[in-house]
Amino acid sequence: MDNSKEGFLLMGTAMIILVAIAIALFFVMIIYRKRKIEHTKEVMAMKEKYHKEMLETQVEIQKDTMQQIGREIHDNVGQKLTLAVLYAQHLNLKENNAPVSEKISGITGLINESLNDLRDLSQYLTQNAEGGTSLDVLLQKEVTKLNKAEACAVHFETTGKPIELSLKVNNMALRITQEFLHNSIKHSACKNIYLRILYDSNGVKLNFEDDGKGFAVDEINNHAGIGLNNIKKRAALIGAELSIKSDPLTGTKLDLFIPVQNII
Amino acid sequence: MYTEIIWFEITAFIFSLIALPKILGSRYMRIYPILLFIIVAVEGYYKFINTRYYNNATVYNIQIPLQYICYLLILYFAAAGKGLKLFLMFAVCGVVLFTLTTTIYFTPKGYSNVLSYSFCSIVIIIGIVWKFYEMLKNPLEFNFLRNPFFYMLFAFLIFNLGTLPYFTMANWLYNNRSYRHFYDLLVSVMSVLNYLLYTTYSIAFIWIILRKGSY
Repeated sequence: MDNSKEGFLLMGTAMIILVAIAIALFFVMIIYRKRKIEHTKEVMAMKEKYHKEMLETQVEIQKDTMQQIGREIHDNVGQKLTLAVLYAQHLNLKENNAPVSEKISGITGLINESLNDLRDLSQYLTQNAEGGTSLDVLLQKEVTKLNKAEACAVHFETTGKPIELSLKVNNMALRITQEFLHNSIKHSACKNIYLRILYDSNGVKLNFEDDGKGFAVDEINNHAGIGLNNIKKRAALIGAELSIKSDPLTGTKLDLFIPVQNII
Repeated sequence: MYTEIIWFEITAFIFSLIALPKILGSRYMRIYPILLFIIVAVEGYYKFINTRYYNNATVYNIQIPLQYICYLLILYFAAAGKGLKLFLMFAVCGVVLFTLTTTIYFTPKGYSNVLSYSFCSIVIIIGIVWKFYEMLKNPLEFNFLRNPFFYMLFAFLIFNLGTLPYFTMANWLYNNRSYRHFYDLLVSVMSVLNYLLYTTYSIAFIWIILRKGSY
């Protein structure tokens, strides 16, 4: 083979090999991209799992702390106040001076009032959804309690066939409701609060609404308080979709949807 | 076969002009019409105006580096990373200096400046591969397979890799007319790569034209 022929062949071969390399690069890129997407998704799933576990721990600690405080109030402070009432009543029995006796009765009344408040607080802090108690019953209790206080009228209604929720979902839904009620009464100066639970084959929808003065959602999102943060955390923990809308003219609306696969 | 390449170049240029309103906002895509104009102007001149055969190596010695500078600028404006931008900046300077030096000192009159061509080609291959690496960094946010620019770069990469041996040996080929069938075969491969390149450009511009919104 002479030099010219060799040169042509070499050139032709080089051209074919280089084009083949370029085509191979294309396929390598596609495979690399596919693997990278899979890897990125795995990392994201791990991060999400970690985040969820962190949230669970946080809520668990918070719940434990609240229960401990509640028990302390009930067992320690409550007992001491009961004792104080007894002493005061005993003192009153011995006292013959009418004005002093009247004052002691006043003190006893005040202590009793504080005792009742503390009991309510203790109950609120230690309260947990018990197995077998449906969300409707728990919310009805809350509604009755608030209506008695006459801070504002709380209306409650349920639609659809109730679905039994897991203890965790029940607890979280109850806490979210309590947080909403607490915020509405404390900050919104509302006259009415509407609580609606809708059960259907897709899951449970909770619609809460008040007719108070509302707030700027963006502003609150940027500097979210503990209450709103807790609502968000709890919703994330049970895989629920949360939407909070608020308007100074129409009040605040909270929609929570718990998909059926996350209920049990 | 290579005589028909001009039609593919003209088609790509026309589509780039039609796509102009959409690509005008893109700092790198708007260079393509200029680049295609340079190519069409030179090739068109020899195809339609100056049809007498004569050695046009001197014109190509200017046109080809200019063409590569346009490609480097396209890559420079498309680059996201600082490293690639710096590389391309030095590459543009390098191409200018290398072409001037090799044309003045190492290229005999009437011969193609194959050194400059090879240098430009290697530099652009590195640039394109680097850009591909950039495109692969965030596959969830950016799907390069749905980006016309990726296919334009890829076609140019194939063109460069495929024609590198041919153009590097351009002077040897010009002076060696033995084994006509081998020579014709190489010209055919080079022509096919040209068809592929400009057809890809045309399709990419049609894609951009038909797509909603600007590029």
